Amino acid sequence: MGECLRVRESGWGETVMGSLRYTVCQEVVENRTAARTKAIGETDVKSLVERAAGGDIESFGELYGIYLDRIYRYVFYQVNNKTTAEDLTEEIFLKAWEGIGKFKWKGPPFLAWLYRIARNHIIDYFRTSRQQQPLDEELVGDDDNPEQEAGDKQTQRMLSRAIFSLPEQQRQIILLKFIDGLENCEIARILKKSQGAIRITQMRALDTLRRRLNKEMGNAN
Amino acid sequence: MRTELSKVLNECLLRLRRGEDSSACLHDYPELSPELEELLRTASFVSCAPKVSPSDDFRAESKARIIAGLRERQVRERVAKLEHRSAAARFMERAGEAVLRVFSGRNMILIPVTLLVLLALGGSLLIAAVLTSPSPQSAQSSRCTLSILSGDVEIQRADSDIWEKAGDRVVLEAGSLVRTKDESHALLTFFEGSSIKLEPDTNIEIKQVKSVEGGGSEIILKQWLGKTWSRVVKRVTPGSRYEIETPSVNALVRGTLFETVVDETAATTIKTTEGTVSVTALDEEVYVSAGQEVKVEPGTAPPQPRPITPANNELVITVIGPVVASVCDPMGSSTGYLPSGMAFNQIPGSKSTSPIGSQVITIADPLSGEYKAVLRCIDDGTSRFFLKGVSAGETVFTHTSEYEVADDSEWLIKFNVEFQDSRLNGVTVGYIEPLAGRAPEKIVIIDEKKEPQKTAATPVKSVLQPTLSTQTYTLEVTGCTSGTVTEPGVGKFSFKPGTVVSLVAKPDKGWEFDCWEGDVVDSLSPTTTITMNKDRTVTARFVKTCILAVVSGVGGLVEKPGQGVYSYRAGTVVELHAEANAGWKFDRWTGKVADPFSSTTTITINDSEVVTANFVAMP
Repeated sequence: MGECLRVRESGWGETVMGSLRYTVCQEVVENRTAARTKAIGETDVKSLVERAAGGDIESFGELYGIYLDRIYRYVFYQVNNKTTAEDLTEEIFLKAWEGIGKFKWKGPPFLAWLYRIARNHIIDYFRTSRQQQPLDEELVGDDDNPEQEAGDKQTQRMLSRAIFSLPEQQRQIILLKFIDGLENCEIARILKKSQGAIRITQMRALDTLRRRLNKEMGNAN
Repeated sequence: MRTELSKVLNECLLRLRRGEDSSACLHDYPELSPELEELLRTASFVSCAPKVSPSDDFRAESKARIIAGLRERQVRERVAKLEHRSAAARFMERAGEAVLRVFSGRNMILIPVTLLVLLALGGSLLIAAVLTSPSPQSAQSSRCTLSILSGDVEIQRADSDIWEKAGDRVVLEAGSLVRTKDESHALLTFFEGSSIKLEPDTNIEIKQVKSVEGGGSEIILKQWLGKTWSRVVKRVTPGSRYEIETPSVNALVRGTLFETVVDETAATTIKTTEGTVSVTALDEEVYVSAGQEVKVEPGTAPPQPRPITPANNELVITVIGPVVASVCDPMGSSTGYLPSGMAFNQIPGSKSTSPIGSQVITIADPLSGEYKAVLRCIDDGTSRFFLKGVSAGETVFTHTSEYEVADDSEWLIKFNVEFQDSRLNGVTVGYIEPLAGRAPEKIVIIDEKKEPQKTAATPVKSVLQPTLSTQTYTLEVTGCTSGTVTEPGVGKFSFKPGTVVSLVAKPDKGWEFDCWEGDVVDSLSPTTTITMNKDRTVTARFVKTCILAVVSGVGGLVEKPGQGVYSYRAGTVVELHAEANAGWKFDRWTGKVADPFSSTTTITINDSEVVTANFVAMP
């Protein structure tokens, strides 16, 4: 998928390694989450989904383990609170259990279906919640290198704040495409938009995010 | 232009995903290059940034919680189906009986019409019953149990306006009021496992206690005055809530430990030990996380939470080995676990880790008085009990003891915590003794099938069973000559397992203590101890003491060890050195020295001796 450069080493806004080599990474080499996610084929997921739909809780537990990180991440960037993200993630999977019998394998991919449940649940959450949450400082970093961990957390915080401040649709695109690596067609199914609309929003989202990140960097300095 | 940029951007992102260089994209679209480069850089930054992940603890616990919650749901659904079927069957049976009565007592012409009407009614009623019958709920699900920990507690039942003295284990419903008197403590345990401990002079109302659809629970309390300590079990089901209203705030939680204090001005302080509490006042909400507190004055919005001031004093109890521990404070409140895996936390500010491996119970701001540690054994083996007192960050005392324990046995260790000038000063730890059914904890056991536990750790094996142990060990104190053992004496003695026995040796006159033989703590000290975790034998050894008198004649001195009378243990070798005055020379030693003609020699003390250094005048 191309060499993924450690942008965080050079800092935001600087040219990396003296040349314009930017690659959108689908999987970051040193991404701990990627290392944890099981490499699992579509056939395996289909089998697990079918068994879970038949009432097999253990199979659903396997699906939970496979998709937990992505759903949690998706939720966290929208609520910016660790405890709330944990609660909502569990609730989303419970809703998925309730609806898994109706999931048709010929329809959207399972992950896209999960994202849709997650998105609707978060919409409901904000509708019933009184206000948006304050930024949670408890970001996870389990690096052995304390200096790198501190740097990672700073980058995570900056990015969290910037994403959190985006308008809703732009935030969805950033999360689904650039954080979770989904394709435009999958995003279009989740958000119920055309692919043309996805392209336009994607551009606006990156532009807005760029300005917000510049502001975050300015505040940090 | 913007449309074109969006298409170009999308194309470049696809090309980059395929492994192409961004410079190639920029080269292909020079007119868009400046803006395109910024957008591609942003995309790269986001994609490559370190990802947020759930914590390992959440990852492990959450899956177990989800699975446990789903299993519980499945069981409940099956039970509901069975009960509906049997309810329908009972209805049809009664309808059939009514039809028979019609047949037996009426004119036959009327029967067909009557029968049809009855069956139609029966049919519609049956459908109504199926559609409207509530999901099965046990009678417990709208109640809670009051335990009296100490002192006097009064209640006002939902259908009364009279205060009455509460009995222990009384069951209360929504609408009841509870108040504790001076120096009195009480505990309310709810049907789903959460609990709230009431400190003295506390007044609360139980506004709502019920199950909600999907297996959750709704508990709403109103705290008018006083201090409470809540332990809220985290439920998987959305819609579960535990809420405390006070005159100034609403505190809402899902799975946590926290303290609520309402003072006489109606100001409310919330301190969170675990989890997060949402505190709302005047439609403004703050989140009080673990280690934080917030104080809200009546009629004001909540300020930002601040860190809790660390406790000045702290007790740390660590238990290692095949045991499950709990600690009961002087007021009767307890924190810890049972071997069944049930956790309880009634001591404000306390925490307990899971008993798997080693268990640590921390008590902030302990009270002065007697504590009871209960150790319930789940296997044979060695158990270690550590106790540490910390004041102002410094360790004031530690205690360590080790016991050989047997599976299913239960033990009690009492220890008294002492203070001086509000600082922990010391502790006195009693001997371990069998629990003998005298469990000090006040716990309401909740039906386990209704409680998916937060930790969801593999439950510790073995069921709580009181055991009265009659085992003893023998200490034999033997073979003392030239002295005696005054404590416990000479002979055979029986002690309870784990007893620490004092040993005191006393020599006869002319003898002194040499050493102990046996597994004592300090074999060279005449006063020591031995722990009775098996049969033991000890012997006190004594050694004779001898007098050495050192004298010098005219003409010189004994420099070493000097002139005088000395006492030595038999067998000691003493060095001697004599020095002549001017005009004199050393002649000889008298006494049992090694070399009488050398001014430097030795003597081996086997008996009382006199040695003399003799000198002669030089010609």
